[in-house]
Amino acid sequence: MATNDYSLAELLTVCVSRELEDGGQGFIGLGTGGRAFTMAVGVPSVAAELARRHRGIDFTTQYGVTFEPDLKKTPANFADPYLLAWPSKAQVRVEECLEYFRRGKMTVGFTSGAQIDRRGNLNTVCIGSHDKPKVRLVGPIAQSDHCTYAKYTFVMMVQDPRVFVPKLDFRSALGHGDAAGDRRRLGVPGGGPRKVFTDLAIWGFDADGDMRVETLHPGATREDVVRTVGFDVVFADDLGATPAPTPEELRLIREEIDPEGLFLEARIA
Amino acid sequence: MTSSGKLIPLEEVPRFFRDGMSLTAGGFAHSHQPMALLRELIRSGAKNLTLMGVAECWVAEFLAAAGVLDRAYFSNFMFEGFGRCRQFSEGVEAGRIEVEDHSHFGMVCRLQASALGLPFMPMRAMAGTDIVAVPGFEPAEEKSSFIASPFGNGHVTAVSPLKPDVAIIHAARADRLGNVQLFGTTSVVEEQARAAGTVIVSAEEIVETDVIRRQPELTIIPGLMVDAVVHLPYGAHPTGVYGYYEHDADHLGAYYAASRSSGDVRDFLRCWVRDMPDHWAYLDAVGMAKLMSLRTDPALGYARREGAHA
Repeated sequence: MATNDYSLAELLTVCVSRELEDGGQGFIGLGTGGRAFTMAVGVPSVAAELARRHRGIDFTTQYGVTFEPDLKKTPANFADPYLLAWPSKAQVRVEECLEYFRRGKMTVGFTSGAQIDRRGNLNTVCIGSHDKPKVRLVGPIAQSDHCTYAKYTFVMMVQDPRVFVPKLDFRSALGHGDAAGDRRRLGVPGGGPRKVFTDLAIWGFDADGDMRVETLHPGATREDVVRTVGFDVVFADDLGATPAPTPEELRLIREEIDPEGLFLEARIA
Repeated sequence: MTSSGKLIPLEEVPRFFRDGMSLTAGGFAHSHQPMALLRELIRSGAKNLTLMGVAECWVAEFLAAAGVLDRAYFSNFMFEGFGRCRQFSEGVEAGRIEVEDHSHFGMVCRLQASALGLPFMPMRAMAGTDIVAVPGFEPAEEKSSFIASPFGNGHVTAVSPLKPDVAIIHAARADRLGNVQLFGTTSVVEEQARAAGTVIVSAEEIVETDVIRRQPELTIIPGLMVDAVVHLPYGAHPTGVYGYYEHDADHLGAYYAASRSSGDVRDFLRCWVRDMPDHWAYLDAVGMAKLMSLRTDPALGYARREGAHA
C-alpha cells in the first residue's frame, strides 16, 4: 500500500487524532447519513481511538448520553435501542450529559454547520431571513451550548462559497464573535473554535480570533481554497502542508479500529 | 378518588384541549413521542396551537402537516436518518409557522424557570448570538436579558419562563394514580411535566401501584404532577419505546415520502389520523405482524433482526 493512497476521511482522522490531548473529553453528536456523518461522527470517533492506540493517550468520548462506548461493539444502527445496548462506561440523562459542559469538563466539542464566517461563528438555523427563510434548517441544537462551554471546538466542514460566508444569515453558535475579547465580555467560559478541518485545508485562529489557513492538504492549492471560500482568505505566514498519515496509522484505522467502514464510510444506519 | 383514579379513555382527552393553547410533548429522535395522544389532538380539531418543544420532531411535523401549528418555541427539529422535517420547515419558509429559536439549554432553562416558579433562569449559552438578538414572534426583551450578577461576579443571560398549558407524554407504565415510569432515554420529560399547567400521560401498561412500589426509583413523574392517565399500548407508534418496541422505520419512511407533497401528506393524515375511529382501529391498520416484528427482545434491549447489530 502506497502511503499517499488514503481517503480524505483518513487524512482528517489522523490530523484530528494528533490534536487530541491526554486526559481530554470529547463530545460527539449522533447525526446519521453520508458525508456529514463521516465528518461529524466518523472522523472524531476513529481519531479518538487512534489517539488512544497510537499515542497511548487517555481520551474519553461521549456520544450524547453514552460515555466511552466500546468501538469494537459499535451498533450498525444509531437508533436509541441500539445506542442503549452499546457497552459503555456510563449512560446518563440528556440533561445530565450536558451538565458536564456547564461544569467545564468538556475539552473538545466537534461541531459543524450550514454556514461559518471568518470568526468561526456558525449557523444551523436558516438560509435567508429568519422571518421568512429560503431554507429552514434544524435549529440551534445543543451546538450553541457546546460552543459556549467546551474548552475549545473543532469544526468539521466541506469548503464551499455558500458555506464559508462573509456574513451568516443567522448566528446560532458563538465562535469568536465580532471582535477580540467578545467571548470574555459575554461571560462565555469556553475557548471557542480552535481548528477548522475541511476537505482542502486545516484552518486555525490568530490571537484576535480571525481564521487563517495553516496547512493545505496534499494536492490542494491556495487557489482551490480561495475559490471555495466566500470571504477574503488569510494564509498563515508559515503555511505548511497537512502531514500525511503514516503506514502504521492507516493500518490501525483500516485493520483494527474501523475495518468495516462503519464510521469513515458512514455505514451506520 | 374513584377506583379508576386518573385513568380516562382516549376519547375523554380532548376536554383538555382548546384552540390557541400551548403544549409541550415528550420524546426524542424516534423515541417515545406521544403519537396516539397527538393524533387525538389533531382529530379534536384544536387549532392555532403553540408548541414549546426541545427536539420532538414528529410532534412538530404532524402538527405542521395538519395545519394547526401557528408558533413554535424550540431548539431543533430534525429526523435522524431522514433529514429535514419538511412540512414544518415549509410552514416556516411560507410564513405560516412563526418560530422562536433556542439552544437546547435555552429551551430547557425556560421550562425549568416555570417548573421552579422562578421569574427567570440564568444561563451562559446563547450570549452573543442571533438567538437573543433577532426576535422571532417574541419581543427580544421578553425572551432574554443580559444582566450583571447581583454578586458582582460576571454577567449572565437571563431567560424568561415558558409555561405550556398542556404536556402530553408517553411513558412505559403508570398506575391509576399517575405515577409514571419510563426506561431508556427519557429526554426532558420531567422538566416538561413540572413546567406545564396540565399533564396528560399515556402509557404502554397500566400496572397496580404495588408494581410501581417494587421499583420506585424508576418513577420519573410522581402522581401528584399528573392530571390524567390513558392506557395506549403502542401509543408512541410509529416512534418506539425503550424496552417495548422499536420505531417503525417503514411507516416513518412512508410518511417522509408523503411529506414531499401537500396532497400526499393530506392523504396520509386522512388515512392514519383523521379518518381513524380510535387507537384500536389504528393498531389494526398497522397490523399485528408489523407490531410484533417491532417488539423488543427483553434480553437484548432491541428487536432481534438480521444485521441489527455489528
